[in-house]
Order: sequence, then C-alpha cells, then structure tokens
Amino acid sequence: MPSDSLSPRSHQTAPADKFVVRGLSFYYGRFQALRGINLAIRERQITALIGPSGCGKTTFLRALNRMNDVIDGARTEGAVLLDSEDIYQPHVDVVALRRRVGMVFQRPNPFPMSVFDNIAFGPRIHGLARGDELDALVERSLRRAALWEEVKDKLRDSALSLSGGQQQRLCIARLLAVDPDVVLMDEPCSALDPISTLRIRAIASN
Amino acid sequence: MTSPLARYRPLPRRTRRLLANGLMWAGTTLCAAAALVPLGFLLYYVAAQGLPAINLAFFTHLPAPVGEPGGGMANAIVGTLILIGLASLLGLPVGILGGIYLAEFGGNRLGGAIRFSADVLSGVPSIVIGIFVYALVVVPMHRFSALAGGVALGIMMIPTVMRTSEELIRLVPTSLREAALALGATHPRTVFKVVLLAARAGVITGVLLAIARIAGETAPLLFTAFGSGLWSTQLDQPIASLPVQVFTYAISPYQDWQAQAWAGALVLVTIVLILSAAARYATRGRMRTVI
Repeated sequence: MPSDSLSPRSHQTAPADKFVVRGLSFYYGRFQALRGINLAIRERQITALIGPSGCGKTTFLRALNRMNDVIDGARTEGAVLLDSEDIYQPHVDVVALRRRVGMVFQRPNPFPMSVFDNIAFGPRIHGLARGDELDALVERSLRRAALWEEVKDKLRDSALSLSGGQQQRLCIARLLAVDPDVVLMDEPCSALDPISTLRIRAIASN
Repeated sequence: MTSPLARYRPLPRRTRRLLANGLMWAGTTLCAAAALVPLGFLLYYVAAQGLPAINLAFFTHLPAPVGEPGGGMANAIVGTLILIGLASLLGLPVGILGGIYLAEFGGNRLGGAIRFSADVLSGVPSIVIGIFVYALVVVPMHRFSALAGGVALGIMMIPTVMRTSEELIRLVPTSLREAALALGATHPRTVFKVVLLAARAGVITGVLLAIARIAGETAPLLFTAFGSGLWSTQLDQPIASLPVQVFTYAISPYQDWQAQAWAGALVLVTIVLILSAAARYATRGRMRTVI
C-alpha cells in the first residue's frame, strides 16, 4: 500500500500524537503488504483509514498492537511509537501492549461463554475487579457499548445466542471493560445491518 | 414429426438423471444398511445369550468355583472400573496436554515426530503393548498388578486422546484466539481459558471414545493385570477385569461359566454403548460452538 493512500482525518483541533508510525513496512513471507508508511495518529480522536479492499488497512491496524506477530513468516520493518516508545523494540511486553491497544475485529468473535463471562474475561485475567465491583464494571461496559438494555436479563445466556449486531457490540463492551488507551476497529460494521452500524458509530463517537 | 433418428438418441436428460439418482440412492442405502447389519446381529445375539444369565448376583457376587451354581462377576466389573481409572490417570493428562502442544506449538520437526509416533503407537497391536508393559512394570515388580494393567491401557489411550484433542483444538477459529490475545491475555491463558473451552465438547468426545476403546481390551491385560477370582482393590495385586474374565469363562468347558461369559460380554457392550452415547451427547452442540 503506498503511504499516501492512508489519510488521517481529524475532526478537532490537534492534541498530542498517540501513535507515530515511521517507515513501517510489513511482509507476509515474500509478499510485501505495507510499504514505508509514515503517519501520526492523535489521541482522543477518531482516525479513519479508507481504502479499497486488500489495500492493507487490516494489516496496518494489526501492526499497531502487534497482532501480526501471530502470523507465521511475517516480518515488520520500521518503527511504531506509542507515546514515543517503539513498540517493536525487543524488550516490549506484547501482552501489556495489547492491553493498552485493544482491537475490535471485522467479524464479531464472542467467546463461547455467557454474556457476563465474556465481558468479565478481561477484568478477570488482569485482576481489575471482582465481586460487586466486577458486576458494576460489566454493567458499565455494556452501557458504554449501548447493549445493557438488550441483554440485562440475559447475562447468563450464551453470547452466541445474541444477534450479529449485538455480538459485535458485546465485543466492544468486552474491550471497553479492560479500559484500553486506544481502540482499533477493523471495519467493525462490515458484517452488520445498517441499524447496528449506526449504534456502533454512536459508540465510537463517545 | 419426430425425426427417424430419434430412437438412436440418448435417453432424454431428465429420465437419465432420475435413473442415475434412483440407482445411486438404492446403492448407498444398501451399503449403509449392510454396515449396520453385523452390529445389529451382534447386539441381538449378545443380548439373547447374555440376558438369561444376568441377575442381581451377577453384579454383587464373586465368581463361584466350578460346579457350584450362581456366582457373579462383581470383582471383574469393579476391576474394570479401577483399570479404566488408572489408565485415565496416565492417558488423559499426557494425551490432552500432548494434544495442546501439537496444536499450539507442533508446527516444527519435533511436532511432526510426535505426531508420527502417535500414529504408529495407535497402530501397534495391543498384545505388543502388553508385552512391553510386562517388561517395564511386571518384571521389576515381580508380580502382575492392577498398576501394570492401568499402564498398558493408559499407553493405548494416549495416541487417540492426543490426536483427537489436537484436531479439535485446531478447529477452534483463529478469531477466538485473536480476541483473547487482543484483550491482553497471555498465550497460556488464551489456550486454557478460551481455546480449550471452545474445544471441550470435542475433547470430551475423544476421551470417552478412547475409554470405550480400552474398556474392552483383553490382550494387554493378560500378562499385566492378569485376572483374579477374588476381591482385590489393591493396586499392586493382580486384578480381575471383565474382558479377561469373559475370555477365561468363554474358553472353559463348563456350561454355566460359558453362560456367564455371555452375560459379561453383554455388560461390557452396554458400558461401551453408554460411553459412545455419552460422547454423542457431549458433541450435540458442537456445530454451534465452533462456527
């Protein structure tokens, strides 16, 4: 992907840069998916990436929380600074990085457990809350994702019984529950109906 | 006017299609039924021969000496359960954890070697495993024992449990792993809290099928657990088991022993049927879990 096809669109006056991407290139084996990207992403803003399918939007997003590390034969060059620290330095704790930089995927991917356990998963593994505190955190997260009213009586039901749009909002709530610094959303609405899309857009603007 | 050549044309397409459809339907149905016939006969025959010899004493009494009427296989039934328990203690942890290794880290040469060994091991005749455990456990201990029987059966479980666990863990969609990783979960947490959870129905099925398979094994027990006519729950002593008891009774010249052998066979088949049914029950929701 040529670097100029990624155009950040800022809506407000400029606060500090959260991410600074310098000369980022990415290879799947021999195939080069990203070519020398330079880009700054400001904090407390929505930055949207637009481009035709297959142009590298997902690959770029996944480079920002090192989800690409999982892929066999993948190679990254260049630097990605998060709060002016390069996340590709060898000493960086990838697990801690991903806690700060969360991701919502293209397709909803709830865990095969109850609605409550889905949201509580992150707080539990990070020891953020337990007991009543955890209940409150789950409710708050679901409210932020505009899902509380629809699932408050189904917290013990399987998350897989929800509709696609609800599942995607569940995934957003699950992410918000660990309170990440940055939320990466990879076309979270591409598999959803227009109404769910509107709701998710509203969540993003908050 | 139809052409004079009409009769030389191939059958109209629709007729040909219906004919082929009918033939294939009949052929596949017949073959499927043929596969079921032996099972049906087997179940019927075992039930017909075994039921008359089944009574309460069969489940509660020890084997009676030759010539005395009555007696049961209580010790063999309990023995088989103990042997299955011992085998599971060895086979399940090794099998399931091995399966996790193969699915998560098995892309290297070591993984390939383990996979190949497991496939070879599952093809090793069970009597060979019996001889191996005889040399490994029985000879150093100077006696046959329940422990040796459990080791033999446990070894037989490992490849089945390992490969089914691996396959089912692999079936868990990448998107689920990524969801957990993107929340800042470590790799072990992702595997144990999310991936295993998603694969649990399949893993349980593999375990139950492996148990069903070893429950009826006779050959590896002949020179490990050996068999016993007495009550024994001690692990360092020979122990009775249903398959060996059935074997001993069936080749005996005494009619009431032979009748009891049928009853034992019926109990064994019933145990295996129940385990298989439980395996199906555990899998019933799987297609929904693993999208």
